[in-house]
Amino acid sequence: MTEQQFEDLKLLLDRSPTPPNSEQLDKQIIGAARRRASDVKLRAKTNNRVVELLRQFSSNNAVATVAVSLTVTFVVFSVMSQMAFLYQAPDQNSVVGTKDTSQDQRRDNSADIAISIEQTQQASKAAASSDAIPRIAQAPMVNTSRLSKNEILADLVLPTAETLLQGAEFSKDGERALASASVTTALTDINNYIRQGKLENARDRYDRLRRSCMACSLPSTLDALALGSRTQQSRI
Amino acid sequence: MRRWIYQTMSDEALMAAYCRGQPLAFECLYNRHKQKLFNFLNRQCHNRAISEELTHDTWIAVIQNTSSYQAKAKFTTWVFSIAHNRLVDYWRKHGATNRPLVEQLKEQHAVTEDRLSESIELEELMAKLQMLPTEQIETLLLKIEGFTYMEIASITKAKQETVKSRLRYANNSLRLSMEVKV
Repeated sequence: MTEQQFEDLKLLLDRSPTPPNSEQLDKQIIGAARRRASDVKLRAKTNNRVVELLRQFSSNNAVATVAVSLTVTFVVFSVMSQMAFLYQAPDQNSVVGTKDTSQDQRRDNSADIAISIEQTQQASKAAASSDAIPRIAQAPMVNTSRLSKNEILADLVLPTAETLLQGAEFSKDGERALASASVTTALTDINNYIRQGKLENARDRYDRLRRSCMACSLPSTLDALALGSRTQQSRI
Repeated sequence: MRRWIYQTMSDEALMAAYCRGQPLAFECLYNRHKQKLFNFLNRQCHNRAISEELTHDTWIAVIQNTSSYQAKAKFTTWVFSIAHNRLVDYWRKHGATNRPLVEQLKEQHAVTEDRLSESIELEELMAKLQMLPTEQIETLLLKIEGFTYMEIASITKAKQETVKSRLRYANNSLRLSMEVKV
């Protein structure tokens, strides 16, 4: 194949009647190219904005200072919250505590103190043992809460004058004798009133006795006297 | 930027402009090379529809891979290498053919017979062209398009020596056919 033949072949191919590719194809390709170009522009704009922001950020010392301080504050708060979590962790883990135990802890404000599980258990045991005595002593009071005041007075067995005045102190011997006489009289009246069912009269009589004999150190009300007497009887 | 300025720019400069988001640069590039690329594919495919499909795929690949284009490489080399890959895929599925090329040459010869030199005996050339392997036809077509050996080697992903030998075999076959005729 000579050079001339090659040129002839090229000429033939160049003048080939092959029609150009369709307009539809052109539109598709150009459309895709434009979409791609707009994407590239958008991306470039976004990148430029970010770069500009970073540049401004780095050039502005005040903004940098605020940013650093905010970062430090955030770190400090993070550390503190972490420490607080660790600080409260033993309390959260003390799952052995019963309802009573947790109530005792709250009463003692022990939730604010970091204590181990063993300490919690010991504290709850100690609290339980110390509560044992008052619970027995207050047992009648729990029962009396179910009764009305009048029922207590109706069943009342009043103490004697000597018993009432046992703890009282008098400056003179004659005073004790006078007080004993008036108390005896008053107790007789009160007993009569109670027997008759006149409980209010009994209370008034007791109030008068108390006002007349301040040195006798009597309980504040007849009901209180009745409760005290009942407790003494139950202890016996 | 105005369209006429783009038309004065090189392919590589246009591609760089398109990478920066200038759609007119691509339009200029497309208009500059669309016909050559279409002809290259159309001469090696069974019909026009397939050629258009391969042309579409090639240009879309160009659009999508703008970031991978390196300005060091010649733009046409890059585009034709993409087209070559599409063509090879097509050949694997449907088989290669030289018939479209021969038919085009025949049609054109009928129109412009008087302008050609007497040295070429086209009828015999057509017959011989049909016998050539597709790789040799492709290499010949790329050479006619003006690519150098190195560029053809780059497009077809072959060694430069292989390209030379393919062209030599093609020339010898065609010459032999004409010598026999003479």
